[in-house]
Amino acid sequence: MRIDETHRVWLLASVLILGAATAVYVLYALEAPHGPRGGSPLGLTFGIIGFGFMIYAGLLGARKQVPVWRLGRAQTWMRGHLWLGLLALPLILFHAGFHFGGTLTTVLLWLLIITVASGVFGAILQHYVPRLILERVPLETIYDEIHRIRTQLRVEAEGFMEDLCGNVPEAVQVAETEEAIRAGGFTALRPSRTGTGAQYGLTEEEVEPVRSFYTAELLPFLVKPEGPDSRLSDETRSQGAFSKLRMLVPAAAHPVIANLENLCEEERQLTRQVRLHRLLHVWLLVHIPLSLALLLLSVFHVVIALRY
Amino acid sequence: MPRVRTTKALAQRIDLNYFKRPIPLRRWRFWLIVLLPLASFLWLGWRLAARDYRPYSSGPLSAGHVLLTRDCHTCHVAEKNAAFEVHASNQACKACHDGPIHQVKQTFEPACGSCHIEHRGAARLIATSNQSCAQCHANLPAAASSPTNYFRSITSLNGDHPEIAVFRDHRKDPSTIRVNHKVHMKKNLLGPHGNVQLECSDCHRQPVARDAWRFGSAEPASAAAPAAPSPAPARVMKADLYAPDPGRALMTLPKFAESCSACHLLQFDKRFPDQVPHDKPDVVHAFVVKKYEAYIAAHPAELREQPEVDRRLPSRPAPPPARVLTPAQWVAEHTKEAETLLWGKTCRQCHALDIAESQPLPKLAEANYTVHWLPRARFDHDAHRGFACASCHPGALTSTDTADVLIPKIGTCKECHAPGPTHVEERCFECHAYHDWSKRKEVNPTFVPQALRAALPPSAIPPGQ
Repeated sequence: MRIDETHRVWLLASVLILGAATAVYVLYALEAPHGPRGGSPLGLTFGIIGFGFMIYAGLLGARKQVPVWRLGRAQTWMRGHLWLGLLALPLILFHAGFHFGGTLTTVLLWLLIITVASGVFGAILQHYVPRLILERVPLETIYDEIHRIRTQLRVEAEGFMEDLCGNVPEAVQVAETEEAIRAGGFTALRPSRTGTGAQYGLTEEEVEPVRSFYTAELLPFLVKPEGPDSRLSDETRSQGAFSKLRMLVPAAAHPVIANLENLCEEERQLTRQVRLHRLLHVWLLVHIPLSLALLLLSVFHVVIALRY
Repeated sequence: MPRVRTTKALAQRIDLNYFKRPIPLRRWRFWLIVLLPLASFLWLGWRLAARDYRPYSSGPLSAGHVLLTRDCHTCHVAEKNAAFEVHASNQACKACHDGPIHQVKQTFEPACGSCHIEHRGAARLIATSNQSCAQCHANLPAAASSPTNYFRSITSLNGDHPEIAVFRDHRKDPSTIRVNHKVHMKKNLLGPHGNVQLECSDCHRQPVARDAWRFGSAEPASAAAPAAPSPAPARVMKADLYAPDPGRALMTLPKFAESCSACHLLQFDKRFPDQVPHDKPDVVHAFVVKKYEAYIAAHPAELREQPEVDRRLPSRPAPPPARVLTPAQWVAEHTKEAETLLWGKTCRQCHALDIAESQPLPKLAEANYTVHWLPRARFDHDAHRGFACASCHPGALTSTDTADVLIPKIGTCKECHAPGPTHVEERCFECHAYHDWSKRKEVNPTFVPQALRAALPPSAIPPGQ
């Protein structure tokens, strides 16, 4: 979610709440007989409000499980998650009087700090990375389907090579992969493998540079696109490689080379999308499990605190 | 033919059920969501099963209670009508620390835990806040069941703490021992072996001090045998409640033998090198008589007194003729002469003596020393040992009157004991005590260290172990 002017109300409300809470806390800390304590009336108030904010922030996950329920706009939930979740940290610190206390409370406070920090990190990423994907990955596709798209790109490349050169030995490997995909019973159409033999009337000698390039560089790149070795993974070096290839073959083969170059570009963009997607979502591996553990242990803390 | 990326072609590449397939990122997230809270609860459950309650503790216990760390229910006791809560109760505290209430007139008794905050680590439990005391002392008349003579409103040392009572009431030092501090502290004072400069420690020391006295005849305390505490002071305003550490907290009373005897000689007759003992008049009298009796027995020739060579003026009466005295007469006359010197000059220089014609011996006034000037507070000289005496007791350099009170005023304390990082502790507990532990009740010991360490109930330990 982009943090833009639509967050202004939330920002102002959060600043006001934080300012008021800080002012109350400072007065309370100066006057409290033994310093601020979680068990004092004001400390408990901070704790209850902070825990309430944490629960609201945590309910976003539950809200996402029932997207069709009329429970308010998803954007409102997300803004509340961002700002109230952020406010939970200072309120809980006020509740604790900036003391970590015992083992459980120390664990809780660190969980909260890490959860909020990872959330802030995630919010920053969510603000910038989608725009980055939009700019740098115009051929963006559904992340979950990238693996399949890559297979299709290889099949497509094989078809172009069959059109140019006739048979391609590595076709067996691709076909097996494709078979495996179809065995999964997926609904996507098979990739168009149009190769029906040499259609460009070029001799073996004339297409040999393309065949060698395909075997030595293009196919390994398509099989393992995230490997660092291939020059095709770099846009500039890739352009140079294809320019050189064009000089080695007759002009009739240039449309096929252009298609292969286009495939490489799409493959590079998919790789870039994978990286950006991981950057965009990997923080959730920290944020969500820790926040859930935080909420559950907080309930435990409440019970223990009320008992003792 | 060139690649064509129509919307339809792109859409056909997508499996419409793609969202039903597990993907690694989501799978990892799911397992972390399941395992992390599960691991947390397993950890808590494991500690619970092991009867180790430390994870639930809100913080480490104070040093004195650290053995109870594993047994929360020693202090957290279920009270009547409490179904769920097991708060730390006063009764649990009093099982070991059963002190009396602060004041019989108090209308409110705070809970132990409201002043002594536990689970704050090694912090001293005695370090209570000013606000705890101010609950009552900010408005004492309202907190007392009947009128009191105590100061009505005190909230902090640097706020409205009154002057020390002896200054507030313009009282004087009641001591009858005459000491002119100014004379004693002047430069080039005539000492036993030439001019000296006295220091405070030549007369005022802590009882356990072992250094030799510069101007005394008493032997220094043996290093092997600890110094005996000072004898009970002649007058202590209220000694038991705020009894200082006998070793170091307060200065011992200056003793003649240790501080004065080198300069203030108690010689009574040039015939004898001995001095009279520094004791009561009857002891001194007996000593003098005994000395003269022994002397005249050894020198019977002196019973015959020859008049001095006549150097009188013509107008003066004639000297008495030569006499022959009996030993008893000789002793009586010389004793009277010596005691006139002693009572009238030597002793009187420092002591108040009541010399009446009707009494054979003078009556010595009580010294009336005041050892503890702060009857409701405690002061520890040892904690202040790094400071020059005169920096707090400047009057000791200029005082000429015994009645001068030379303890520092409250303002001197406030110079250092003030809020802020560059000052030292200023809270009430630093000088004042709430509980009168001299009146505490005896406790019935029930704890067994081995049981506490093992977090087992005492009943689990066999008797005698």
